[in-house]
Amino acid sequence: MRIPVTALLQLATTESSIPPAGGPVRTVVRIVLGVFIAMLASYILIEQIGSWRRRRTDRDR
Amino acid sequence: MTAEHRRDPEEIQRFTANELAQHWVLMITLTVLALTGLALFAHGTWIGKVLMAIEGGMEARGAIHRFFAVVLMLLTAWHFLYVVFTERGHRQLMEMLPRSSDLRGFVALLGYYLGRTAEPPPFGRFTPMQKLQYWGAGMGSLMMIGTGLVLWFHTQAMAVLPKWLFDVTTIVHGYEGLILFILLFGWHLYIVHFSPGNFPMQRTFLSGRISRQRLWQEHRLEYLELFGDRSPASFPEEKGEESP
Repeated sequence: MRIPVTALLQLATTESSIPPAGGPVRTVVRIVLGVFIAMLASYILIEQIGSWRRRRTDRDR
Repeated sequence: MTAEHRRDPEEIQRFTANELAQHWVLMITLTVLALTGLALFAHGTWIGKVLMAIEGGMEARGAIHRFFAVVLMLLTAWHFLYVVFTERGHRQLMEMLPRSSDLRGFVALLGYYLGRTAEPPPFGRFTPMQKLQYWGAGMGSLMMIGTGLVLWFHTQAMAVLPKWLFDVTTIVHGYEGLILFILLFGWHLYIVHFSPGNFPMQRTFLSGRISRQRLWQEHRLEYLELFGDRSPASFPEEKGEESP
């Protein structure tokens, strides 16, 4: 089967004929990114607080 | 105990020169790819503009990005051959496989940080966080290579792919790159430089070595496998070294 490359490229690059896709995808990816950052930040926070509490306990002992 | 463990009585050789070399190449490659990718991803911001200027403009940035993309592909092939066709590499991969005990260990570790237990949970050769970083970087790199090839050969790709898939690929490449950037430059650097007891840095990535004390603290199950019940304090005094 012969692929109509030129026609496809023209179709794909004509913004008025095809609206840009990916809006919902971008939203989902941003949510994933936000959850990921929140998880890493929580882990770091818990580790640092735990470390600080242990150091304080050791010092007071 | 293997020959490499006997080489220095005070430290344990944890990683080979081959493994350290792979880490160095990955470190340099992902850094350059992240910086050259970020210049395009954040082209509208001052960071993007500064990076673009440093990298010599759009054309040079693209050339550098593609050159290091090829290096990443070669490294991926090198690592694949290493873990599939060498005995040691395969053993490392098997140790790296996620297990249900990793989740339990991670929860127990959080409990330790929150003061619910007095001792951290015992981990094997790789901790759950190390496994997460390995698989995150590994899967992320494969995804970046796949989507990157579609963007690199966009003319050919658009002859066979629908427009929406091309758009999705563009988004995934950009944001997956950002996730990888945060994983490595945020979390990984935090763990090896700023997590408790590691400042200014762990040195295992330089020497591949770890002290018995550190192995006992952070990889208790591996320590017990190597030295049995003998505690680190029962060995002659040793220099402080770090873990991966």
